[in-house]
Amino acid sequence: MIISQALIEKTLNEALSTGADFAEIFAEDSYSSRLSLIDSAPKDALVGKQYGAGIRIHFGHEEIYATTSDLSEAGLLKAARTAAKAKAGGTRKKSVDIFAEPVTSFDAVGEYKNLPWNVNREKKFTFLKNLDRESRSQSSLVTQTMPVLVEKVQRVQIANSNGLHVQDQRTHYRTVLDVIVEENGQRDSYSKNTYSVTDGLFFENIDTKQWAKETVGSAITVLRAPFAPAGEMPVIIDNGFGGVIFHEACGHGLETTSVSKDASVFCGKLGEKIANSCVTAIDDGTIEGCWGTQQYDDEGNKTKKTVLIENGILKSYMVDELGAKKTGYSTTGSGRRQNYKFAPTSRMRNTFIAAGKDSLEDMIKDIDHGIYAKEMGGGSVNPGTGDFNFATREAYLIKNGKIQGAVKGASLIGKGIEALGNITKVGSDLKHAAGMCGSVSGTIPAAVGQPAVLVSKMLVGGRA
Amino acid sequence: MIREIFADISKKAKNEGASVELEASNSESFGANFTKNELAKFTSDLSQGIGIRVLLGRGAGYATTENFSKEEILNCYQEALQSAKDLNEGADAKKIPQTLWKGGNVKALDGLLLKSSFDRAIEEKLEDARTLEKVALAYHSDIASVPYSSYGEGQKSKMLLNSEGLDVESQAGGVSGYAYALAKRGDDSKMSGFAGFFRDVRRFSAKDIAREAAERSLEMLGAIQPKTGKYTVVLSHEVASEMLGYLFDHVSAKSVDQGTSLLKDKVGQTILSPLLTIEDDPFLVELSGARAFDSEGAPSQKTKIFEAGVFKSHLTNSYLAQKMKLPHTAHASRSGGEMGISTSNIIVSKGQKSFEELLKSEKNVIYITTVDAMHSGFQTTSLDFSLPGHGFIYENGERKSAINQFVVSGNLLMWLKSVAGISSRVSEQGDSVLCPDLMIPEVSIAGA
Repeated sequence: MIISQALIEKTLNEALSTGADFAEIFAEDSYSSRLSLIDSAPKDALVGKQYGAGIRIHFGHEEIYATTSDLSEAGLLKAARTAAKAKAGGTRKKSVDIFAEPVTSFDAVGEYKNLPWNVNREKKFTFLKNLDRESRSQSSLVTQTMPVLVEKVQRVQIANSNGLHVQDQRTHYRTVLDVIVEENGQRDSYSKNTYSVTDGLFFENIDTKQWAKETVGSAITVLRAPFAPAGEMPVIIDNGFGGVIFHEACGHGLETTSVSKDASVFCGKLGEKIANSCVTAIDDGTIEGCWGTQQYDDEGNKTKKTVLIENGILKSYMVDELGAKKTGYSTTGSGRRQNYKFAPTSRMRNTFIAAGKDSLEDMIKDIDHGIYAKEMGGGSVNPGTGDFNFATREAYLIKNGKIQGAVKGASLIGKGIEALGNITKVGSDLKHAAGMCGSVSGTIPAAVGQPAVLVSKMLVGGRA
Repeated sequence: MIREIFADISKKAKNEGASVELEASNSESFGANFTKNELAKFTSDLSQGIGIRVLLGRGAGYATTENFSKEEILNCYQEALQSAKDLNEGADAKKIPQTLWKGGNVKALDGLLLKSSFDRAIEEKLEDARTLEKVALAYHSDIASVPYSSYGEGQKSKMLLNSEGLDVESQAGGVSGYAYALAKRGDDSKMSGFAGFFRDVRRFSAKDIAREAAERSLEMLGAIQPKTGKYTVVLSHEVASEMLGYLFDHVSAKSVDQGTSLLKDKVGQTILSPLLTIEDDPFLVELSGARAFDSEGAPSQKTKIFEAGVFKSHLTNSYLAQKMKLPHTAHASRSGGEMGISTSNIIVSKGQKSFEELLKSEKNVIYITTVDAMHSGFQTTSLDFSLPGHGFIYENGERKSAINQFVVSGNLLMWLKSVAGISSRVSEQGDSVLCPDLMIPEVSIAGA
């Protein structure tokens, strides 16, 4: 345990001293490491330890959050007092006593193979060097490669005044290959990543040659591509990271973080048809081995599978504890935060559009002039207006029912509800991909996913 | 206590043939926001952190911890030492070893920390947080909600020690606030915001921020989609400042060293429009990038980067200045294991024309007030971008219509080279990049 049961009890009681109706402590002891190469030689070897706690109290719908990186009794009680004093003058309504044992120990919460401090660093650098060598051998146009290996082990202990007490360990391993290519004075770059949430030696199973070939191949394709045309046209968004369209266009607007403030275009639409019937969308924190999977969310609740949209009908929002109090909906195990410095809010886990029945070939053959977005970049949304945007990383022009040459610089913009209504075909090839999602409670690992989908019209922001 | 532990670490490092540097920081911050007139969030943060850099031969190892126990700080040193050993073994034999900064004449910067904010009563601060929502909501009946607003204040103290005898300290702080108002009329909804950072709380006005956010949202209602085409564009000073930030990765000597800079071997060449003169000024204390010394402890200095469009200087730290035989500009900043480089305050010289005169200098002008999704729409390697925008159409200097649902695209270096006009207006909100409004011809806009 990071904090003893006795100290949890003292801290929560101090936090409750001015009349709060709920108190919670989220303690964290995390390890992170980043190794990278540049110019084919080791560049970074960084080890970081995060250590601290966040104390959260509620007075009805009001939330107070105090953090400290001093986990001594004096440090925790000071933070608890700071939180309680935010509503000075109130009197105690409840207290906690004889705090329960955590329901799990760190070792029992999952299968964790090869924790990073147990894996020889030389093996990791050897992997990165192989990746570097394979990338440079693919083409003389490669002028720089930057392979990176990032490892994180987060241990958390969560207890609250309702008697909840859990411990959880999360491991996230990710390697990113970034290559720069140059030709005739033009320069471009491309990156691909792969990950594991269970095994620190996951990189030993990566085919570095194939990965390097794909990454360099995409970089050269983008480098030589002309800029995309501009205007409204049909767009096919391929499977995997293409799911960022749903994540940005709709997902953030379905979090009670926005819904409880009347700041979402999806407010008050439960039970209504908000998408074409071919669209079923799910946020699932329980998919084994997936990037956004957790046993417990960051409020100590078990994560769940939440059907958001079923055959076009809005079925559920994503709900955290405070969102539940404000909206009356039940929690969905969706309370998440980057670390102890952030209070949790409702966030996505593994969010995807479920598989349909259409094929990519059928989608392409019906398009006279459009875009096939094979790989997507990141994006963002304004939940209040539903305006979203995202960048394509690798895209191709479609003409007369056939894929033509590659194009670059195509941003896709639109409004969430309109885009959902314009999804007219959904493929059968569902695939998930890893991403990092930034919002009010920090940057967290979240998976996106979808099969290929056809959006009948979108604004493509290429060059006029 | 930290100095005593560091003395112990220095001895250990010396025995290993290594040198060592330690940065310790303590920070305190407070934030609050109201939603529907209820205190939605009240945050208080007490943070501490230590970063240790160990140099051994050609290797540099770095480790951090937030646990200030002696045992954990010593563990942190061991992690950094091990990394330095690992990197020394794998290093290119041609690589020159890094060295620690031996100390210089660091002058205190008065005004980086004003106690007036932290001395205020909590009720006064909460009232400012409440005002950010209340005033925006009351501004007009079309303001439906204020989904995002917050008052914040923070202060941070930093100590930098190294085994060459460096021992410097600094303190800085400030207050900030923002509001994003959602305006609704029928099915039309628009959200815009405004923010500010101030060293002195007496310059902070929650009412002004709230009113400006509301006004900006209201004026976007009824926005139309512009037709696809090429236009003369005026970038607001805020958008210009935000976009300009992407240029400085390429100004950094680190990016030249890594082969990623578009400005390699370009010192002395005309890169930007002759209207643009840009310098880095760490001494403007009211701006958020001010600092007395850099992350190695080297005293800050002003650096002219572009003069009338001509590229004058890369930004360097002590290692890269030595390695690349460039002037040392004291721009070291920690980013990962290697000492990186960052700007302090970037100042673009003002032009002669007022903002209004700039808009009148062409018959038809698109004035871009905001762009979204810089993080995904900017290709940092090439500086090509494709970004959703919001703004207004102007004819003969008169505003005709709000516009949105369009994408503006181009290349930042080409844009900055083609700048045809520059205003005398810059942000007064404490930003670390101050660029006036810029006029750019022949800009690609994708819309209807």
